[in-house]
Formats: sequence, C-alpha cells, structure tokens
Amino acid sequence: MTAPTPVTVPLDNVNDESVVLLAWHVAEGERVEAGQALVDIETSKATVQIEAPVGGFVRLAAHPGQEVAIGAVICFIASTEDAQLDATAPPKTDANGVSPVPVAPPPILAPASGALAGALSTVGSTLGYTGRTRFSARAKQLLSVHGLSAEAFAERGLVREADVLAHIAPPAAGSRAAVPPVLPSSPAAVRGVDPGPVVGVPVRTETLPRRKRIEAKHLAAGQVHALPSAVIVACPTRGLRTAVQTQGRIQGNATAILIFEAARLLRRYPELNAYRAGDLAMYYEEVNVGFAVDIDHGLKVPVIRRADQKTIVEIADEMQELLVAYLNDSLTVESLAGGTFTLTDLSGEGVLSFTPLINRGQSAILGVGGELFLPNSPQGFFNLILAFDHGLGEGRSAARFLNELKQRLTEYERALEVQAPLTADSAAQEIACSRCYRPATELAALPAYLLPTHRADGSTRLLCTVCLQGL
Amino acid sequence: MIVLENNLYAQSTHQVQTLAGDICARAAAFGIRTEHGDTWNVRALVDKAKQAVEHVRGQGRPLFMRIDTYRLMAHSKGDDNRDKAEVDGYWSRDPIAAFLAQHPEEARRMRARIDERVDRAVVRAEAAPYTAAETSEDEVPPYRPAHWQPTHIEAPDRMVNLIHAGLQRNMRRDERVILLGEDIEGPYGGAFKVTKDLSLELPGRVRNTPISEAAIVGLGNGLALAGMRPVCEIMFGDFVALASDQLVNHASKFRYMYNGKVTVPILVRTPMGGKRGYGPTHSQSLEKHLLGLPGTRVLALHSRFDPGVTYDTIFASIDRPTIVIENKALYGLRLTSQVADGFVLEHSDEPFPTTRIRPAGTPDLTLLCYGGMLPDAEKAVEQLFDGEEIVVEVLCPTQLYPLNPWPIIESVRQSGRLLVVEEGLSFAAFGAETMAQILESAPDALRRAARVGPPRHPIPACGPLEKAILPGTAQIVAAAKELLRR
Repeated sequence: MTAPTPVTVPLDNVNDESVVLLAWHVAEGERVEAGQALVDIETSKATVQIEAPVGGFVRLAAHPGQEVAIGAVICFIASTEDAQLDATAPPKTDANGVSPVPVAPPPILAPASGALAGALSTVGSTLGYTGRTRFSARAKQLLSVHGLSAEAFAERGLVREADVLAHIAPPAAGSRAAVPPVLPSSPAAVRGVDPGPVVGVPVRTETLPRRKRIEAKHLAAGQVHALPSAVIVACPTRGLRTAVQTQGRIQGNATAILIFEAARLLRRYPELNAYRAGDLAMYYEEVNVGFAVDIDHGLKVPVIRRADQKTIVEIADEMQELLVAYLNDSLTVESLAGGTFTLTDLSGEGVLSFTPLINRGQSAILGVGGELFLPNSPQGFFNLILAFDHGLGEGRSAARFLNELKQRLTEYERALEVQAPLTADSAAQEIACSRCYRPATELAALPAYLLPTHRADGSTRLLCTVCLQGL
Repeated sequence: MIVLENNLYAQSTHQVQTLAGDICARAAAFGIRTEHGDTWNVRALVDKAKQAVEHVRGQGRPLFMRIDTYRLMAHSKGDDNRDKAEVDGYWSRDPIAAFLAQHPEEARRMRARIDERVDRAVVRAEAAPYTAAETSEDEVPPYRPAHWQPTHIEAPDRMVNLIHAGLQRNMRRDERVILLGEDIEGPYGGAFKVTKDLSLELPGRVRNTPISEAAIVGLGNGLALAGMRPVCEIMFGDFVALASDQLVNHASKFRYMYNGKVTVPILVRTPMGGKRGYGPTHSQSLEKHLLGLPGTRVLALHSRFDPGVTYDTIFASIDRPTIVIENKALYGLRLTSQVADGFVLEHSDEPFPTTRIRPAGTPDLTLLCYGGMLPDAEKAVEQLFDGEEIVVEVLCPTQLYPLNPWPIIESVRQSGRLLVVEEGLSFAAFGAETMAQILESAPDALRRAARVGPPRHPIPACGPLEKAILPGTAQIVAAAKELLRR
C-alpha cells in the first residue's frame, strides 16, 4: 500500500505565515478525483481553492475556522478507504520538483497518549527545520546588494550575514565566486521566500552600466532593502476635476484617469516599470498597474493589466468590478498578481504628502496626496509623489515623469476647448501619438488611429483615438 | 456546633488586656444562635451541651457555645506568671480536683488503670519504627532526556475562552469539581470573565463567596479533605496573601500531619501580573512567595500551550494543593502554534510540559521565562536575530514547582548562557532558584547568566510609570546584548 499523500497549504503570498481554512468541499473518507476541489482557504489577499493533487480517499487533518501554517498538512489522500495515517511518512516531492514541505502531524490532543504519542515523538525528535527561512537585517541587505534569491537558502532556518558571505564566496574555494542572479525560471521559484519580480510577464534584460552598479552598492550600504528615493510635484487640481466632471461614465473615478495617464507615460520611462536583480535591470514589457485599496477589508492591491492599452472607461469599469470583488472578499489571486507598477491614492484620507513603499518586484510607486488650497485662491493643488528605486532610476527622470504626468492632467482643462477632430491623412508624417507615444503602426493593430487636434494656443498635435476617448 | 473554650488567658496575657466586647456577640453578628456554660457546674454544662447538639442536629443550623473554664497549669513550662492566689482559687473550684479529694480509693484505681494504659502505649510506640522519610517528588529529579514534540494548538482561541472551556469540560465530567470565589457566578462571571455563565449551566456548583480569601481557601481545604475537587479563584493574585495561612499552614501540611492518610486536592487559580494600570496591590506577581512548599504544585499558564489541556491534566491527576498562575495580560491573547520563521514550537513530554521555541541553529543564548513574559520574550527573540544576529532559544516551563531543571539544562549546555526573564521581583525568586539548581546539577553547563526583572520598587499606579518599570521586549533585548558582550 502506498503511503497517503499529504496535501499542504501552498505559499500564495509572501506575507502570509498561515491561512484560515474556510470550508471543505469534501467529507471525511470521501472519494475524490485528481484536480477536484478540496477546500477553500483564506489568505491575507484572497480566497483560494485547493485541489486534490491525486485521486483517493480524503482524510481530513484540519477543520473550518482553523488557522493553518503555510506548508502544514490540511488533509491526506489515501489510496484505500481504511488507510492508516503514518505521521512519520516523508512528504512527497511534487511535480514541479519543489523540495519537501514540512509536514505537521495531524492535529493532536495533547498530551498525546498511547501509540500516537510514540509516533509523534519520533517525528519531533528527528524533525529538522523545513519551514521558511529567516534572514537577519544584515543578511537581507547582502541578498539585496548581490541580487541573491532567498531560494538559495531554503530550509536553512536562520541565515546571518556570515552565512550569505559564505554562500557568495565559500571559504574553501579561496577566491570570490561569481554570483549569478537567481531568476524565477519556474513556478517553483515563486514558492520561495522572496518571489522577486512578477512572474509570467516577459522581460528584456540589460546589464546596468558600471556607474549605476557602483551607485547601487554604495547606496545599499545605508539601506536595509532596495534603494528607495522619492520626488514630489505639486499639481493643480483643476485639470483632473474637469476630467472627472466631463467623463460621465467613470462616475467620478479620478484614480482611473491617473492610472490611464501614468500607464501610457510609463512606456517612456521603462526604469519605473522594472525591477533590479543584482547588476541587471529587468524591464517589464507590460504595464500592469496595481492600485492600493484599503476600505475595512484589508490592504489589497488589485491590478489593471495592460493599463496602457485601455481606455479610461475600460479602466474605470475594471476598477469598479475589482472594488466590488474587494468588498465581497472575492478577489481572485489572478486579479492581485502581475503588477509592475503601483498607484496609491491617499487623497481621501486627507494626507497631503507621504512616502509610499515600493512593492517587491517593482521599481516605483505613485502616491497621490489630498487637495490643498492656497490662501485667497480657488485654485487647488495636490501632490504627486513618486517613490522609485534609485538603483534603476534617478531623481531627475523621476521628476520629469511627474512633470509630464502633471502636464497631461492639466491638459484635460484645455482639452475642452479642442475642436471637433478633423480627419487627416497626415498620420504618416508624425510617427506617434503625442500623449501615449504609440507609433501609428502599433495603433493600427489595436485598432486605433491618429487625429490632429488644435490646442488653445493655436498649435496642433496628433492624438490617437485611444487617448482621445480618454479626453 | 462551634465550641469556644474560654480559659481567660493567651499564653500569659489576661483577656482584660486584649478583649473588647462580648465573645458571643461575634457569633451572634452572623445570625448564629449562641449558648454558654462553665466547667464548674458540670451537670448544668452537660444538659446545655446536650440541648445544643440536639438543636444543631435537629435544625441543621450552626450553634456557637462558649464554655468558661480556667487553665490550672502553665501554658508551656516556665511561663506562668499568674498570681498564685488566683490560680489556687480555681484549683479549689475544679471538679476533678474535688472528685479526687472526696473519693481517694476510686481515684487511686482510676489512676492505676490510666497509668497502665499509658505505659502500654509508650512500650508500643518505642518498639515501632519511625516512619521512613518518603522519597519526595519535590526534590530535583535524576536526569532523563526530555522528549520533544511539535506543539499544535487544536482550536486557536483566546486564552480566557480556553480556560473557561477547560473548567467547563472538567465540571461536566466530574461532579466533584466545584468553583468558589468572589463574584464568579454568572452573568458577571468573575473579574476576568473566566467563569462566565458556568453557574447558570451548573447550578449550585459555582458559588459566590464573601470577600475573604482565607474563607475561600479554608472552605476549599475542608471540601478537598472530604473528597471534593474544589477550585478556588482568588480574584487578584495579590490577595493570595490573605489566603496564605490556609495554603502554607493547612493545605500543604495535612497530608504530612496525618501521615499520608489524607490528601488535599484543592486547586487555587489566580491572575497575577501588571500592565493593566491596576496599581500596587492589584498588579503584582507574587508567585515566588508560593514556590517551594513541599507537597504542593505551582503551575503558570502561558500562551503557547492550551490551558484547557493543562486543566484536563490537573483534574485527571490532582492529589495535592495545586496553584495555577494565570497572568492577566494573557487572558485576551489568541493562542496559536504559529511562531516566527526560523523557529520551531515544541513541548516536552512532562505531564506539565516545558515549552521550547527552538531556533533552526545552535543557540547563542537560552532565554528562560514563564507565564506572561513569553509574548515579550518571543518579540525580543525576533529582534535579537534580525538586528543583532543573536540566536536565542526560549524555554518556558508550565510547572514552576517542583522544578525539573533538565530541559533548561539541555539548552544551556548548547548556549552556555542563560537569561531569566520574570515579571515579579527577582530577589529570591524563580530565576535565582533555577540558576542555583542548574549550577548544582550541571556545574559546567552555565558560563554566564543574568536576570531581567523589575526594579525593587512597588508597582506604580500611574500607567506610564508602571510600563516603565515592568520588564518588556526592550529590556530583554538590552540584557541579551549585554550578556553576549560580556
């Protein structure tokens, strides 16, 4: 008889140490097929369903409402109906080659007695550490500076600075070994301590210039994590307000406009839509913008995928759907994954300025502050804050990004004065939309096309129909 | 029926000096019928006593009887400073002396019978062996390697709910278990809501008592001697001082005084500890004063082992006075078996387990604590690793007395350094005792040691000052760094 297969809680989100078991889809002893839904668990981000890895008879090892550690066994799948559960059986290695996960014994009624106690004691006395690795602050810093993945230290338990140094340059080798960055090449890597970048979004790789590499190392010495830096630009509110008022269909959703504009702009600022892996800059080739939400259901960051190719209305509608899911606690894992840039709007909180923290696997985050009025002036201002990884970008380019964004937002006011668009066959003269910088060839594939527009100062410029819909 | 033998004197002091009012009035104040008689009118006394006994048996009500008499001899030996004329006056009124004088022949025969009987008893006693001193469970046990198993908390819940569930389960299972304490009946359910509505579910088995800890524990002692399993709640641990006579001089002594013919399975539960702003007499950790009484057991609940399971073990095996310390800061905590990454939560196979939070790696330091200090200790352990790269193993025994030092010694043998953290004053307390036992039992294991405790000062009523003096994470981190530096 083969040993029952333990089913463990997968690591879905690095912030979770445990999940809460919500409800079983199966009963004790029930026969299941491989792939059949077993149980719903609640992570700090979403509700997730766990499926049976193999077919067989289910033996439950956790109950609804229970808090279960990542990697702990929630049930076994036995090949026969009356299989004996052997707590000492080693866990199976799964198909992805993921190393054995820790198998907590089935719930025990301490103090255990009789045969069960004996079996469990055996587990206890021989149990090595198979849980997640803890890094000291100095070790984390070294990992970051050398672009090492936490995966390299799986099941090491406690990792200190000296352990990382020994890994980088094993004392026996005598010479300093080259340290290749560990990239997430398989889903297995995602289950490690540090997922690093977003998985599933294609990247193009460039070696950072030497100047940048040295800078990163120097700056890292004074930082625990990444190399965060921030710039702030004050932006008049009028443009954004005009936009919100004129976009009936977005129902007052100013964030949608910000996402729309920032996403398009990001195409020209790849260093803000990227991540750093040691000496390599990894530029995402999609613009997936996450927006932070925290309305009494926990802080979550649902993601608008390919936000740079969507219209304001599309973005607003998608946000609406995600917000409803958020409020119903039914956000899916997919809707939270894959963000390459984040926007966090605290204007509703009355916060004027703050320093947002960059998410892992990203290089920048845009913060939006609340409106501020100058004395005796109806003109309001709000702050746009960009926190970025100085290991990739610089204050100047970050400021330029913000100023361009500001410019785009103020232009909504002028856009009202734009005349009815003229049809033009001069698209070939200009190669790109003046707002989203998409070349005409790419626009044709969407499909979209360029239109010349008159500006208040009398000049004309080309806008694509995607951007124009936004206006 | 309560008989008070009033012989007018303490050891040497006459009542005139020390007694105010009327002795019988004291009993009358409780609504108890009182009678009095004296030993100089024997027939009248016998009649009165007979009536009194019939009243008590017939009515099922208490009766208090004062019997006036006189101590003719010295209290001890050379301590009789009374006026000779006064003593002689009572001798002349004494009924036995009078009988001996009036019936010398019969008195001689009686005396001979008495002497013969006493002589026989003396011969028998001298021939009997002395009771062998029992091998005490209170001594340090011989070394036995602890067996550790991962701790799994069956149903994570708040401490207070788990204690309640443990009491409820055992009351349902065993009718002998009854609860006594101040304000413990529902719907109030005790100052910390541990007993909640148990009185409604189990009428008559949860009893509110007068505000007298001596009475609560005294009552418990009597019930325990009579075969019950009383659980006495002392509302605040500070008030255990009021019950200390019943614990120290009665509960812990009966078994020995009656040569093992009785046991006193009394359970005393009490919340200790501060951090709630309750001031100097409602915030102390006085358990050190209860440690070390032979024949007793002192346990401290903590947040990494299900207290309901601890209560199950107690009720399944209680054969001695058992004191359970429930640090009040723990009541609201939610128990889980989830510890910090890089550490494993385990407990030993002792009946009342030692909890160990074992690092995945050799410890630089062993941190010993119990009860309410565990959550602070755990936070400190994380900070010490993350910020200082110091690897700490935490040992947290449930049973403080008798203490099995071996699980602690196992850890100290690896780390060589011991930091004891306790909320109560550390002078002559658990930490000091443990260090002494480690040094006695494994002289080479311990290289360095230190204690973290509050300054030698009462607990201030002012919240911020209280917070400043009670040990917390910051003090633990500082002491650990210092210990590693030395």
